[in-house]
Amino acid sequence: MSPRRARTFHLGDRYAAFSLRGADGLDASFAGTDVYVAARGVSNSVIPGVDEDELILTGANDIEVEQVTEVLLARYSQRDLWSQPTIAMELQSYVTQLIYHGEVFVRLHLDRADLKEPYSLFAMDWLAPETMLRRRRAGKVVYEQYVSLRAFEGSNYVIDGGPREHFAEFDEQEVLHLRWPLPEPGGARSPAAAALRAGRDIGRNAERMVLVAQAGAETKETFLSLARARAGAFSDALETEQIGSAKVKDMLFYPGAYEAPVFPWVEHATDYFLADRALRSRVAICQLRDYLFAAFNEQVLARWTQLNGWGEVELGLRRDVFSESDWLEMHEELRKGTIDLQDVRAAIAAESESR
Amino acid sequence: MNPTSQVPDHLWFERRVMELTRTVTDSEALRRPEVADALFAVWAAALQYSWYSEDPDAVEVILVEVEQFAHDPRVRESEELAGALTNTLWVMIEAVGNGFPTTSEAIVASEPWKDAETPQLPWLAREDASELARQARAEILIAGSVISPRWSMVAEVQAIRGPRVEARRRTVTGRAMNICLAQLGDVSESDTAGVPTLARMTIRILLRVLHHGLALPDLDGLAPLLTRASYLATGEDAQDIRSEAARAARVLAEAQEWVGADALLAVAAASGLIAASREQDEQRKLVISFDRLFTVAAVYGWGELHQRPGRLAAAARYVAAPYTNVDALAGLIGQHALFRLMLPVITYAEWFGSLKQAVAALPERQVFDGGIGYSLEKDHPSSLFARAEIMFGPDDCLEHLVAAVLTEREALRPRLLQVLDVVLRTREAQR
Repeated sequence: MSPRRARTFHLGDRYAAFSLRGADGLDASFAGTDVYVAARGVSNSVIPGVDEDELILTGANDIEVEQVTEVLLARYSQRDLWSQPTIAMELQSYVTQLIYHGEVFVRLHLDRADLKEPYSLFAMDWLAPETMLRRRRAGKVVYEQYVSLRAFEGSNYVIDGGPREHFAEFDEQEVLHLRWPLPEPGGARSPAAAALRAGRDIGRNAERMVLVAQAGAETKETFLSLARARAGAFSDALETEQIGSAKVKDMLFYPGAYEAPVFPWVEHATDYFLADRALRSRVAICQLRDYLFAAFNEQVLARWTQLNGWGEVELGLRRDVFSESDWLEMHEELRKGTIDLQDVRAAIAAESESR
Repeated sequence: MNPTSQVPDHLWFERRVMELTRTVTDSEALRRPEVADALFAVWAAALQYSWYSEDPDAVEVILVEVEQFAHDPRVRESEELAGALTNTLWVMIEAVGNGFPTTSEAIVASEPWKDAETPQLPWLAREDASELARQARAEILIAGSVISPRWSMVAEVQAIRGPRVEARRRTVTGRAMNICLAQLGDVSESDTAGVPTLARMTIRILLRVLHHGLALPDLDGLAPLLTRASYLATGEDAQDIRSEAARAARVLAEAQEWVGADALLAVAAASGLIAASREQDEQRKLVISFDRLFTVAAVYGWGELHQRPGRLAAAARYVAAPYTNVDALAGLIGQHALFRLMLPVITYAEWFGSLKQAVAALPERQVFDGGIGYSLEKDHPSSLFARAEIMFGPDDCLEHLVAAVLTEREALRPRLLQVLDVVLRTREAQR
């Protein structure tokens, strides 16, 4: 099987995810909505805006920059590069998938029509992270994709025919490989995975709330769980569930997302804590943004320009946004008491309104 | 603990004591001064203990007992009982004014998030501590540790506690004033023995509220009730009410509490008029009239200083009939003859002491005087203070007020003539 012609399985392939035991279970988790909303908010904060105009390419040679711009940023480039309508939205979906899966694999198709033409980017195909394996062979990094395809008959687990095996191998240069760059949340492959774990506590407390309600309704029922609920064993279930939900949002860096003020994320907290978490999230968003552009520039644009022997071309945000050091400085001011929650919220609002 | 209930009643003792005291309040023994003093002393002490223990429920239990006397005729019939009741209210205002003894710092220092029980804190402070504990525990559960520094927790507790304390203070202040107003409202000519005390203490309670920086209660209806009390009082009692009302008007004006200042000024002016009409001695009558005029001038002076809208209208009514013959007064001022009237000028100077200090503290500006250089004057829009010097005092304010009243009258006179002209033409046309 030629790796170049091999079929790739992208992230939306739920069948592959299921067959490889990669089902995340977010749809059934109490943390699922939080993950969805947080991923949306954080990705929109990392890349504010959805148009190509939000991004800019820079480099030493204007002609080379122009050629890359025509492919990546021009609306009518005739290249079906992105799974999303624009490159800005594509980058946002990278962030979303980093939050969900912790890793993103995209196969690059850098090629040229004939030997006289420069290399160009012709396609970028998503690779399902649960099908990918990064290996080192003979001192070189290679990426393997393995999928065992099983077609089911009806609603039962009856396999229609035999499983079809797919295996592909890609050079390191062919793959854009992004990994969740932040140390938090520790001990989990992705923020969503950590949130899923915390979501179990939310579910447990939700069940306890049902028990409390049922114990009140069925006063003669002596089943132990209901008796315990009646005796006040789960009286703090609601508050614990609320805090659990807030913890999930916090581990997803939601408080600093521009949508956060619309959906209050925690019930009882000091203003300082709210400001602290918002600034922590903004720092994380800046780190994510810096990582995303650095990885894209290194793994896509640098490879492309090197193939053509061009100078450096870099992708970045067009607008001015606060940098990581700005937010860290703000945190220091918060610690000293010279600014407060209102100032932090105003800074976040000012940044999001500067579009 | 009530044995028939699972809910602990922390007010059990207070309720039992109030039941016992009720046997006294319902009996005729209360008419004896020593019994009244003892009963109200128990209530006053219990109110203070309850307040300083931050137990608003206990305060409520006792206050309800005191409120039973809001319409009790025995209070108006007895100077001692009126004194005992109003002293209790005054003591209550004093306690409320001092606030709760537990500081926000002490609540944070108790670290309530570590231990749900905070027995070292008073009752209400425990509630605030538990709110803080909730916030800190949320931080621990979400972030793994307490994130907020102590200073921010103190601010947070203050933000929770401040409005709560303020609301309770406002409630207690309003209820104390309502008891006074209820008693004054029920006054009749047959039961006046306790009325001067009620009136005098009502004004003092009001000033105590102001002294502690508390929000003034609703003073609607206060002025006519105090004026009536002044009318029913005689001798030194009437003089006390008049001078207390005048002092309160000046103090309230200084604090820019204009509603209260106007109400008390009305009381002072009306009681001054009553006192002057009863006075046989011409010199005493003159002093009473000028006491009123200088009180009006003081309120007007503070209004000028703070540029209160409508300050002239508020003061002018007392510099005209039936209070004053403004033309005669203007003549005296024009002849610089006030000093010949043997008025208590030192007392008046004391009334204007704080206004004089405030004027002296005004910044100065250089003004080109048309001569060879610049002179200094106070940087204030009012001409009353422009050339205020070290001798600034009562005469300056009164002269400025009378001049302003006359100027206003001159300005209004053509309009009055126009109106009269229209009226005459209309009548002629109707003939």
